[in-house]
Amino acid sequence: MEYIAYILIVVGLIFFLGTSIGLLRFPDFYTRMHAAGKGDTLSTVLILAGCIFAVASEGELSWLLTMKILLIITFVFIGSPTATHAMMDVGERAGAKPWKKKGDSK
Amino acid sequence: MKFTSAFIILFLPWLILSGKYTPSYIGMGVICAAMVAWWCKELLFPDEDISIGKCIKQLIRFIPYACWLFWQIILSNIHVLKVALSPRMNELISPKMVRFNTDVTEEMSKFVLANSITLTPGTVTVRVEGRRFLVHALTKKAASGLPGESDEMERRIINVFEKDY
Repeated sequence: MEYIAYILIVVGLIFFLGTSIGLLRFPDFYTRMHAAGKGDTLSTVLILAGCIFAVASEGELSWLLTMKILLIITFVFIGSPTATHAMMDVGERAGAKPWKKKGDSK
Repeated sequence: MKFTSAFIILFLPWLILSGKYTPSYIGMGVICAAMVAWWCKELLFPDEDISIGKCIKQLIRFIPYACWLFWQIILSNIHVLKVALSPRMNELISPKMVRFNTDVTEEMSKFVLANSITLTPGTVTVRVEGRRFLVHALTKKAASGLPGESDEMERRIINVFEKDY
């Protein structure tokens, strides 16, 4: 149990690291939102799932706690893409120019 | 009918989140859920007719779709991780805006389609206007998986939400 929790949390953190590096390295607003919007969802879910197992390994797991965490996961799943979408939309309306590769026709 | 559904949707999370089952707490929950359900039922269910059977049918068909989507999310995270950590990042990505018209018609399925596009590898929905989608794709390969060119995702969503009625 304990090890499942560790693995889930560490994998979640690796994805968060990838997200942060992507956020810093990508060339423009839109590509940065790619990194932020996707990395967030999965790594949050993994870390929260890790929390369930961490509590279970201490023998204090109740169905109430599990349900609460699952509820948070559901809201993150719905909320994160919607927030990404809202920010992309506003960015486009505000006239952020998408970065293009040199020599790309479109 | 609308009131009952809204009340149940609001009261179940109350029970989960409060975690205290004395009469006073449950009473407060009933009052709050009833008030909000009364005020917001038109917001939650703008359509005239809702049937519980239809909702349950959709929910059951949504489960395999959710599993497929979760797999796509894992793929998309690995994709972002790979691109972000690659030393030749600028050669890997070639971002572009893609426009396409979708075949899905209902509001709910459009919402699911937009969020699914955002969660699958390399694409993010920018705007939805009627049936026209504006999508930003990170690479050419990601753009070729979009509903304009391959209809796998659209077909799955139509299977879940728009079949049989």
